[in-house]
Amino acid sequence: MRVDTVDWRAEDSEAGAQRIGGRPAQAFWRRLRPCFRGVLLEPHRRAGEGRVSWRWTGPSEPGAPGAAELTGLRRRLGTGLADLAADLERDEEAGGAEARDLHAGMETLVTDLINAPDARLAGYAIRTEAGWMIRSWGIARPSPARRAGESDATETAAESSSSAEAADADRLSQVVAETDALRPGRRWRPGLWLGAGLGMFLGAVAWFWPGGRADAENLGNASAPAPLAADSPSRPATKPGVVTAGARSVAAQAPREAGAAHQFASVGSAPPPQVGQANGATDGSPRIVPVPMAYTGPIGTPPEAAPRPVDGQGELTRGGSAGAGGESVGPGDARPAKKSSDEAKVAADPGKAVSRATAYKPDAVREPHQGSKPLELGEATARTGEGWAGPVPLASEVPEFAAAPPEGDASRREPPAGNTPGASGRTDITGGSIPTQAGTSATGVIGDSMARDTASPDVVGGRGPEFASWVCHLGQWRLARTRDVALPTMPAEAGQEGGAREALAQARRRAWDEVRAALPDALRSPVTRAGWVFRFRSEAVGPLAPRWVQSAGTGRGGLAAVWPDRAEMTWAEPAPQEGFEARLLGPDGVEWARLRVDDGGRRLGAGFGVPVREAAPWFEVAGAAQGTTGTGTAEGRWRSLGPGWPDTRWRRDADAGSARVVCFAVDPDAAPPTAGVVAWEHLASGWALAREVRLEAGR
Amino acid sequence: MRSRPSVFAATLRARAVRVLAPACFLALAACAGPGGARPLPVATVVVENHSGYAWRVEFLSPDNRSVSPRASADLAPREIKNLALPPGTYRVRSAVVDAAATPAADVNLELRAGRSYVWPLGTLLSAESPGP
Repeated sequence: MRVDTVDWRAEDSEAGAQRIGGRPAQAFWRRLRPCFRGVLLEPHRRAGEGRVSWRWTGPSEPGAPGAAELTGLRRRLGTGLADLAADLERDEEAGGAEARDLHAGMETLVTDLINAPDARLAGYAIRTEAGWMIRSWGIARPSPARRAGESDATETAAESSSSAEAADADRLSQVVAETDALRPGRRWRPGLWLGAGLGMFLGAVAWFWPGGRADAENLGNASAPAPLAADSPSRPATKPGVVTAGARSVAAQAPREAGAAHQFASVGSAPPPQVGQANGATDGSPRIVPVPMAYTGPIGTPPEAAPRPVDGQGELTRGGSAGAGGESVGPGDARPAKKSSDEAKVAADPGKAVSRATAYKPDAVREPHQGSKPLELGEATARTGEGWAGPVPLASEVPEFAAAPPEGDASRREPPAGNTPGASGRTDITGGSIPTQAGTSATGVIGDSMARDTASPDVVGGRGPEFASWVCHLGQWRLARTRDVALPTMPAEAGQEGGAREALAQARRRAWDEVRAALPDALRSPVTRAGWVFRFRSEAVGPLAPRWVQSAGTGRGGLAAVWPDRAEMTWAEPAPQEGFEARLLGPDGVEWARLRVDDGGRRLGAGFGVPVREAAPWFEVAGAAQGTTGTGTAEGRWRSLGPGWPDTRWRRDADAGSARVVCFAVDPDAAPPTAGVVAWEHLASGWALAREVRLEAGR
Repeated sequence: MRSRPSVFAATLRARAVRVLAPACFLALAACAGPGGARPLPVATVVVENHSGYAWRVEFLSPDNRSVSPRASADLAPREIKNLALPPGTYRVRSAVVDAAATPAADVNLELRAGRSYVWPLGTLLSAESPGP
């Protein structure tokens, strides 16, 4: 059946567009095109006019996108973002500020689209000849699409109406914000009007008093009294804000400018809001609003299920409200002026602050990272993890993980399957919900494993000074959240049954249900592999490849692979508890390198005696690169969650649906240790599978 | 026939015009100001930020198309603000600042005079504060 196609167009104002480095996001289209071609529609900007237009050809009756189409769009957006990250890596590595800004800006933009509810995303989706695409990206309120030949009359009228309304609303907001005694709609202040009228009357009487005006004019005084109305303000001076604090008023935010409105994302196209029931929570399902890149504490059950102590931010503070003692008010006073003794301790020991903030047991927390600071929920972590300082949530804090058998407990694991990587270790990490105490399992927490440092650093038994050796400590894979969710609540009458806090808890439970349901299978029951790669310098490489020799009698070992310039050892996690050792022999039988795997794969020792370009561990999550629709498209990415560990030099690849990363672009001449948290982040859900990694010199 | 006023009297009268009239107006206007008028009843909304993020709350006209708020307030992490609002129906919105997303809440709500309301703001991962 033939489908009639027509030309469509839409035009948006750049006033509400997301800006990257001070420019509209659409201005970077040339840079974005290679990565987002086919999913983001090409923008057409008119220089100097502040408008961006969109044109496409599609069916005359495009219809609304279905769930499958929207899922496909989300997947392609995620792919485009991953491609962009890889594309920008080189520039970021070179210190390109614009590349960093572009990466961060597009990450926000695309993540926002991916996480948008279907109804909102559908407003951006268009059906083109090339399939469904996204138009008006970066625009908070996309204008309606129309056929190319249609008149602008409707649009102009709508814009005029909108402008008039905005102007009216601005005026209204100014008027309403004038005083404490406010009333929506008409305001009537009889005293003021009476005073003004009486004053004008008296002035008029004085002015027209017989001879008065003539006398004044006769005086030749240029400053003759002007009409009172001109001396009086036409409107009392405005005092923006309605925040009151007992007997005094505090200026709050002035009404926002139109350009700032996009932060709240317009709701013009959204269905009209429901009348609130004053029960403290909005009706219907919660609208999940992602807080971009916010890495927070553990999440296994709704946080209120296991109340946590006050974090380093302290208690709620009275801002804009006079306290009992009449202290200063306002946002600037959000933090108590005087720190409590506990807070002082927190400031003195960031590691303890982390443990307090997330209810970690202090003995389960390893030493804080160098230069770390307390975890604060409000701190948005950059993509390289700046701002977050602390270990990823302990396994015992994450019930899903806590319920999983410890790696050392072979009786609760599937039996190993020989040297077939990936065939074992599949355990549903979300199966349980009962949290356990941190530190009770010898192998249950990263901090514990990290705390048990190597008894003999030179585990590979280097054969001399020229035989360099490194030790790599690995934490357990655990779930982590990379985004928070703003809860939809509304004012509830004080004293109402249940109260606002119960409403908040209820909203949190609903949001948790949605978040939990979004956990992808690849992370719910992760199958992971790990390995080590040696890449040799050209001077060490000959026509023949080296060979791996695994020590006899150590049971299940790894899967060996060699190339003339590269050698890899791969094992399914968990590795055998007793460990195994493998030696890499050159074609002439001389030992090139050695690898030892201990503690179920949580401790790796590697040494090498030939020039290498890279000696690094790598990790792989099976199925992570597999789209939910089975198309094999990546929906996530490897990233660093720890501080001070840039992920721009990581080497990522995917094979048969598995996502792999070599997260140490190791320069053998560089001085270890290097530490951080490596994570596979599922972009759409905000879940990540993370583990701590620390690399240090073996000797 | 009316005699022509002296220069002194004319000057005095002119100054009276300039000074007395505005003074009368200002005095009466001052009496009619906030101190003189009986405060209208208001609804009190206590907004509690239980999270570590900065939030913005807005009170808008109940119709759907107005974009500028009647009133708004920003809350720092863990901050409480008391808002005094005239009674009436509002469209209330809350959002995390810099979230670059749709509002967390966007509902119509009637605020009644003399009533107190509590509006807790929080996130999924934010730890509850023990409260005041």
